[in-house]
Amino acid sequence: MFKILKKSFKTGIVTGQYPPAPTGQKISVAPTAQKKAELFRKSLTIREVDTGSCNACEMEMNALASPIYDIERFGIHIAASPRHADALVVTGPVTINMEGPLKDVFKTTPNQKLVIALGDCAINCGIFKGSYAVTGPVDQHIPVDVRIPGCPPRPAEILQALEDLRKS
Amino acid sequence: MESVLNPVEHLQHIFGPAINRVSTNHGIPVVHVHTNQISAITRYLHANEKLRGTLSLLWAVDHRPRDVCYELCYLFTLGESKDWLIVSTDLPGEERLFESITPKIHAANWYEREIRDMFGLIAHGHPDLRRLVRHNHWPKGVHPLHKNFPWNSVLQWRQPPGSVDGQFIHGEGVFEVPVGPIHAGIIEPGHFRFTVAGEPIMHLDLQHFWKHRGVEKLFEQQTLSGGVALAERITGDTTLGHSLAYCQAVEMLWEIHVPRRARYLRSMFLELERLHNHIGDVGGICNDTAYALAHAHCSRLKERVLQLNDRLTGSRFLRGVNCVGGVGIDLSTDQFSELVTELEHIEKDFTELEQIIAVNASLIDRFESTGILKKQTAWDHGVVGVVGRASGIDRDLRRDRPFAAYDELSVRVAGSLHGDVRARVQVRVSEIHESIRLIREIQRMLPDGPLKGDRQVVPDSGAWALSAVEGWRGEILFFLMIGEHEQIHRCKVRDPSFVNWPAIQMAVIGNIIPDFPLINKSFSLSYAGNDL
Repeated sequence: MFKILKKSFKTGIVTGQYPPAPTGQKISVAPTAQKKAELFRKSLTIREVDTGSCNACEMEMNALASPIYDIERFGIHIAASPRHADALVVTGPVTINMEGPLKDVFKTTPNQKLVIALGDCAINCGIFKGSYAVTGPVDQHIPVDVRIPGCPPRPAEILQALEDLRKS
Repeated sequence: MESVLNPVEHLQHIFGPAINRVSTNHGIPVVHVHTNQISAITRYLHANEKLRGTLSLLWAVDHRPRDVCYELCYLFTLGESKDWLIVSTDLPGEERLFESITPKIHAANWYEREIRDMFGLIAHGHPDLRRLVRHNHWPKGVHPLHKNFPWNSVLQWRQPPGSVDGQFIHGEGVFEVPVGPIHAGIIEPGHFRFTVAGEPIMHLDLQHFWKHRGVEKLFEQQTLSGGVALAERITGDTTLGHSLAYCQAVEMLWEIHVPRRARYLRSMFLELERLHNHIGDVGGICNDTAYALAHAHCSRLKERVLQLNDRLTGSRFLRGVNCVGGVGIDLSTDQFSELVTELEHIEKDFTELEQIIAVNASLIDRFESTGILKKQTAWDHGVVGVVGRASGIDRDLRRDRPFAAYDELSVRVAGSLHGDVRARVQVRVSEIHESIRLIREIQRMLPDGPLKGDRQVVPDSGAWALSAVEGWRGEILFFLMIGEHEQIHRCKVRDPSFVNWPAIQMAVIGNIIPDFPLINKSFSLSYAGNDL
C-alpha cells in the first residue's frame, strides 16, 4: 500500500505532458455537423469502429484514454456499445467483410449521431485504395460528418479536432 | 549412419526416388518432391526424432504466365539447429488437388484453408475445409491470388453478409456465446464463438479475416523498391518489424550489403518497438483483471516511448525509418544520449511498478494457471514468439538466425515452462529489461559509416528470397518472388499472429469466459496482421 502511494506521489500529475498539435490541420467538418455537435458540447460518447485499419489508429485512440491525454477531462467518454454512443469514430478502409457490420452499427446508434472518419484510410482508403477486398471509404456507406486526416493522426490532433468541433 | 547425414541427405537416404531434385537458394536447401509423396515426407520431417521439423510457413505460388503450374512450398524449422529446409512440389496444368498434411501436422490447418480460398487449390483430406478468408457472402469461384484475377475487381455479394459456419456442439445444458466482430473496447474486429457447459469453455471457434484488405495482391502491384510503405501498414503496431523483413528480402535479391551502422540502428529501432508494445501489453493484461492502477502507469510509460520515437524519427510508430538498403534516419550523439537517459528513467519507473504488480495477490490469483498452453500443444501448432517462449518453445530469431546487428550482440532469450498468463507476463517483463540493455549495448558499440548500401545485381525474373525478423510478437516471415521488370510476382507475408491465433483456441479450453479477455490480451495478437 505504501509503495503504491509513494509511486503515485512521485509520479504526480502527468496529464497534458504532450507536444501540442500542429496548427493548420486539414480537418474537414460537414456543414450539418456543426448543428449536431452543439448537442454534445458538454458530453460526448464515442464508439470506435475498426473497418479494416492497420491498427495504428486504434493505438492512438487508446492513447487518448491514457493519463497523459485523459480524454474524460473534456467530458468525452468511450462507450462499449454503439447503442450508448453519440458519435462513431470509424478507422480504416471499409473491407468487404466489414461493410455489413459497419452498416449494422450505424443503424444501432441512436439519432442524432456524428460520424467521424479517422485517418487517411477511412477518408480515401489510403494505400489500400482499389483493392478487391476494399469496398470504399467510409462515406460510401454511411454519411460522414467529420474527417481527421493522418496516417495515423497523433492523439493531440484527434483531441484538438474533437475540441474544435464542440467549441465552434 | 543417419546421424552423420545433413537433413537433405537424410531425406534422400530415406525417400530416394520420391525426391526430384535438390537446390539451394540464399543458403536454404530446397527439396523438390513428387506431389503424392508430400504427405509422407513432411510427416517424416515433423516426427523424426533427429529432424523434429516445425512447419513455419506453407504457401503457394501461381507461376503463370511464365509456367502453367502452381507450386506449393513447405518451410520447416528443424529441431535443435533451427536450420531451415523447404520442401516444394509442383501442381502442373489444371491440377487442383493436393494431399492435406493437416491430419498429421496441425500447424498446416489455416495455411491449407487459406490456400484453398486464395488459390482454389484443395487440400484433399483436410478435416475442416470451411471458408477462412472469404466469408460466406463472397461470390463463388473467386480466388484473389490467381494471376488472372484482377487486383481491383469489384465483388458482388452472393448473399447478405453475416452468416457464418460455426462448429456446433449440441447437448443438454450446452450453450453458445457469440462475441463480435465488433467488441466492447477499442480493439480490432474478430468473431469468437464460445461453446460452454456451465461456466467452463468447451470449445472456441474463431472467425477472423474481417479486416482482409488484400495486402498480398496489393504487393503484386508494386515494384521491389515500392513495397516498403505497404509493409509498414500491414499491422501498425509492428511497423518496423514488417518493413525490416520486407527490406531484408529485397536486399537479398539485390545483393545489397547493408552497412554496419544501418544494421545497428535497425536493431535499435526494433528494440524500441518491442519496448512500447510490451509495456503496453503488461498494462493491458493488468487492465483485464481490472487493476487500473498498473494500466494507467503502463500506458503513461508506453506514451513516453512513443513520444521518444516521435522526437527521434518524426513518427510515433517508426514509419519511414527503414528503406531498401539501410535506414533513412540517423541519430546524432546528442539524440543517443537523450534516448539512453530517457530509457534509464523509464526502466527505473517500470521496475518500481513491477514490484507493485509482483506482490498483488489478486493479480497473481488471476494470472496463475489461467489459459495454459502446454508445450506439446504449442509445438504441434508451431507457436512462435512470446507465447511460444512462455510455453517452453525456446526459439528467438535474434539468436537462432541473426539478422540486422544481432550477430554482434548477445541476446539473452527469456523463457518459461508454465505456459499460463503469468508466464507470458514474465517473459514480456524480462524482454523489456533485455531490450533496454540491448539499446545500451548498441549505443556503446555503434560504428560510424554510411546508412545505405547500393544494389549489386539485377536479379532474373523468378528469383526469390525468404526473410525473417523476430518482431516483438514473434517471427515475421516474408517470401518475395520477382517477376518481369522487377515487379513483385508473389509476396507471402506471415505475421506471428497467424500461427498463434489457432493456439488460443486450445489455451482457453476449461477456462471461464470472463477469463477470455485476459488470455486473449496475454497472447496479444494482431487482427490486421493475421487478416492481411
